[in-house]
Amino acid sequence: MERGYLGLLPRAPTLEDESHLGFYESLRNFSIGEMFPRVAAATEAAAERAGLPGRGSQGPVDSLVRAADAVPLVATWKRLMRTQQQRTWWKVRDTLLTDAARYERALSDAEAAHPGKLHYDPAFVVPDYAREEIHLQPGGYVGDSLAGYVFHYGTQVFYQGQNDQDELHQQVVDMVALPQDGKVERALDLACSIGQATTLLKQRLPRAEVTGLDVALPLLRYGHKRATGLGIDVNFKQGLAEQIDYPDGHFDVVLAYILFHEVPESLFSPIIAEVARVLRPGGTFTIVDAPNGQSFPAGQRLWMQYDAEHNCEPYSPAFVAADLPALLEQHGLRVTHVGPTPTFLWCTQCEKPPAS
Amino acid sequence: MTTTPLEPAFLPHPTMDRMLDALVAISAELSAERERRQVLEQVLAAHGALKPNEIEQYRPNADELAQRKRERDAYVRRIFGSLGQP
Repeated sequence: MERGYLGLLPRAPTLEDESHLGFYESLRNFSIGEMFPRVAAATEAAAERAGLPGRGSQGPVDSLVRAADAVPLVATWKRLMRTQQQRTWWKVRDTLLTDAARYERALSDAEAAHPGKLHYDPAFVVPDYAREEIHLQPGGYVGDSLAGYVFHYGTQVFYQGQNDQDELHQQVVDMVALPQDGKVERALDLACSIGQATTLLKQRLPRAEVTGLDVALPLLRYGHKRATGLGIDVNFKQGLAEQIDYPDGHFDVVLAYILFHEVPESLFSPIIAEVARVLRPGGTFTIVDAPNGQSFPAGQRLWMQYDAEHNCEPYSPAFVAADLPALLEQHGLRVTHVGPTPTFLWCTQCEKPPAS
Repeated sequence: MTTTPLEPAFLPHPTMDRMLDALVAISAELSAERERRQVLEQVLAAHGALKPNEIEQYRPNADELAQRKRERDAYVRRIFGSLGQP
């Protein structure tokens, strides 16, 4: 049964799902908004008692976790965070699976009705690193054909209700740096997921050809259905950020939103090299992702370690410890801005120097 | 139903983690039921179809009772499933 939309998000399949998701969103608000400041204070006190440094980019995180986990509040917070995350996915996915054929058919119908806008090779091989069940989503991004639907509902909870109008993605797209010469014919949303930033990029750059690239076909198929439903003309393509299947100098603008903290450290340089290759001289690259190279208080380090170990963010600690601006400069990109955003994420902007 | 082993245990005993997980689950169920009942009562009242005490006095038939039992069994599995894990 179609239940209409809440903003840009289709209403959950049933009122029961909608109520459960609302409950988990409230529980997440409570866990983050009310519990975490106390968890952070308790962690910092435990660190001080154990003689551990209060701040650090990495530091002796194992010792910090051991000290903090002895505090009942910290352990309870972790349990609530993990249970809330797991049960959010389970609830909505179970309902979708009861009518899986209909949801699959909607994806196929969108492909048939709008040919030439979603490109993938059935022989494409998904690398193992992309098979992680990031944020505990069952099947991850690539192992569940309904992952796009599940992701869209689940991230409404994850983003604490800031996802039904693409609110966070609008902030991200507003941060995208444009070339100084103003010429934007082609833009790339690298690791576009379900294409929320992709469609907003097209709305910001209506004359540009906008492409969303991602490794996960289930997310792309949902993104394609969503974009065509919104009447926004963008392209989607399955591919790898470390092997971008476009010619040198093809794009004027590239955006990578929360890509780097979800790939292994060994790919940071290959991805940046590929972006530098496909950007034309004077083109820009904007990265919105986890903060890196910073000094974090003990509570924040505890949360990041929790995410890495218990919320399936295995690659995040390496990105947090990395020096992204230095990596960009190593590949010939000129960093023009590094700074925080209204959320916990950071924004890094750079450009490929114009040809002299 | 989608479940995974309730690991890791964050609290001093794994049963405490499971109890907290069960508390979250039952709270979600209760919250959803409250919302549904509110919607239902508002719809019925709007149509003039719900009178005071009518719900309390309602008598279900055998099929309805059997359906309630099936739904209750599934409900218990959802809430207490993690406690039943090895």
